[in-house]
Amino acid sequence: MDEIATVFLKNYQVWHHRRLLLTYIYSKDPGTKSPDLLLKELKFIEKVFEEDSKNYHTWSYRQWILSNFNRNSLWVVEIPFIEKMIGQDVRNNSAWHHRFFVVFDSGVRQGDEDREDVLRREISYTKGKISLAPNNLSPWNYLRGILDRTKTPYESVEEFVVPYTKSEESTDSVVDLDNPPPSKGAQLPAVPAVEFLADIRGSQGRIPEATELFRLLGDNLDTIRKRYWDFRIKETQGLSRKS
Amino acid sequence: MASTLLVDRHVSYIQSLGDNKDDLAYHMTAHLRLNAVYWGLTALCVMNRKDALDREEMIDFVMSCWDEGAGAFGSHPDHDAHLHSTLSAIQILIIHDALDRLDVPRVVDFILSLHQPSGVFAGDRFGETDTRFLYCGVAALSLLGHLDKLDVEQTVSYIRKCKNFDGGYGNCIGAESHAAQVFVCVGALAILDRLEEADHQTLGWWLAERQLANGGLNGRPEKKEDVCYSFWVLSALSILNKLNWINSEKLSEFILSAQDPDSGGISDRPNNMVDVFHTLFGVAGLSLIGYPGLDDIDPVYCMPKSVIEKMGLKKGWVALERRKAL
Repeated sequence: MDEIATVFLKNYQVWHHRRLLLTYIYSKDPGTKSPDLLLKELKFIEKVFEEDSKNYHTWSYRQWILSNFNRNSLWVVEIPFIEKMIGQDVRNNSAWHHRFFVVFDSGVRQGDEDREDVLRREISYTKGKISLAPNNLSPWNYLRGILDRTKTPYESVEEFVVPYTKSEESTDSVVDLDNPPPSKGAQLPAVPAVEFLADIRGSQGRIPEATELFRLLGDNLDTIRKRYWDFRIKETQGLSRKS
Repeated sequence: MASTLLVDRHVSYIQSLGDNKDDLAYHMTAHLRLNAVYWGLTALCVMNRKDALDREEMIDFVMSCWDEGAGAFGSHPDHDAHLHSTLSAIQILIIHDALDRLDVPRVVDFILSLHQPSGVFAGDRFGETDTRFLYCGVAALSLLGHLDKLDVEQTVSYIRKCKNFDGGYGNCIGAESHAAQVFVCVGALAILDRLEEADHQTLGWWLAERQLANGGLNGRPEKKEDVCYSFWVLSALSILNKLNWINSEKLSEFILSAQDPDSGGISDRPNNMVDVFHTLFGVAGLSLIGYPGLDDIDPVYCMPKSVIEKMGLKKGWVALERRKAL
C-alpha cells in the first residue's frame, strides 16, 4: 500500500483506503494499541511530502489522523513538523493552513494554555517568515487569520508592517528584534504589506492615507486587481462619509 | 498562438474522443467516462454545437451505466454506482430532455442514503466524504425536484464548519481552502438559498487573489495557474456577484493561449496535453466573462442557462455581459 500511495498520491481513494484500514485496526483494539502505528503513519506522510509537499489529500489525511485519534503523543510532533516544512519552503500554503489548524482550530494543547503567550509566539514566528519572503501571501493571510481570531486590532503590528511598504530597505543599523525588517534583496514595496497598511489606516479612520495606498496598488503595484482596489477605495470613502 | 476561440477545432476534438478505443488511456479513464461525456456535452452546448454528438447514442450510453443493485449510475457499464456519476447522468439527461428515462424515486433514495449525520455526503457505499459530494447530492436532488427531502439545516451546518480563517472552504472540516472546494460549497449554499452563510467580502478577496500576473488563476496561494480554475473561481465570484474583481481581458488571453490549435481542445496551461475537462472549464470560464458567440452557462449547476431557467432553478448570480465582437 505504501508504494501505491506514494506513486499515486494524487488519487483520492488511496487515502480513503488508508483511513479505512487504520479505523479497522484500531476498532479491534482501541485501548491496547500503542500509538506507534500512528506515529509511523505520520512519518510515512512526511515521506510522501518529499514527493509533493503540497499534496492536498495528504495534508487532509494527516489532519484526520490527528483529530480522529486525538492523542497528545501525536499532537506534540506537529509544531516541529510544520516548522520543518515551512523551513523547507516558506511558500507552502498547506503548511501554513495546517499550523492554523493545529494551534487555533483543534482545541488547546498541553503547555499551550496561556493563549496570550501562544499569540505572541505565533505573531513572532510569522513576522520572521514574512521577513524572509515579504511578497509571499501565506504568512500575511496567516497573520490576518490569527489577529481576526483573537480579535487583536491590525494596528498592533503597524510598526512591523510599515518598513515593508517602503520602496527601499531601511539603512537603520539598529536591529529591532520584535520587528524583523525585510530581508536583503526583497522586492519592495511588498503588495500584501501595502494592503495590510491600507486596512490599518482604514481602521484608524485615516481615510486619505488608506485611499492613497489602495490607489498605489490598483494603479501601480497590483494592476491586475485594479477593479478590486477601486472597490476598496469606494468602500473606504463610503465609510468616511458615514462618520 | 491563437487569439480567438477555435470552436470548430474543439468540436472536432470532442467528437473524436470516443474514437481511440485501442488506446490504453481510453481504458484507464473508464472510472470517469460518464463525467467526461457530461463535460464534452456541456462544452458543446456552450459553443452552440449541441448536435455535434448523437443524442440517442449518448442517452443509451448513460442508461448502460445504470447500476440496478444500487439504483443509480456508475461511471461506466459494470462500474459501481457513485454520486458524482449519478449527477453527471442527471445533467446529461436533462440537457437532452430525457429525464423520463430515469427511475427518479430510486435515484433519490440512493442520494439520500449517502447523506451523513454530520451533514456531508459520502460518494458511494465505501464511505469517502468530501464537500464535492455534498454539492453533487444537493445539485442532484435539486435537478430532480426533490430538494425538499433533504435536511437543509444539517447540510448547511457542515458547510458552516468548513469555513476557514481566510473565508475559503476545503474538502472537509479543517481542510485548506481550495478554489474547487469553494465552488462546491458556494454552489451548494446558492442552491439551498443560504448564501448569507459565506463571508462574501473576505471570500471574494481570496478568490480575486487567485489571479496571477499572466492572467491565469490558481487554486490556492503560491500554486500554479490552471485553466480549470477559470470555472471554479469565476463561478464562485459570479454567484457572489463580484466577477468584475477579476481582470477578464488577461484571463481570456490566458485561456486562449492554452488551446491546441492543431488537435483542438484546451489544456491546463499552454503547451500541455489537452483534455475534455479543461476544454469544458476553459469555454465555460470564457462564457461567464462575456466572450462573444458563446451560449450562457449557469455557474451554479454548470449547465446551459436556458435549461436551468426553464426548470425554474435560476439563482441570483451575475455574469459579464456578452460582447458582440472581440
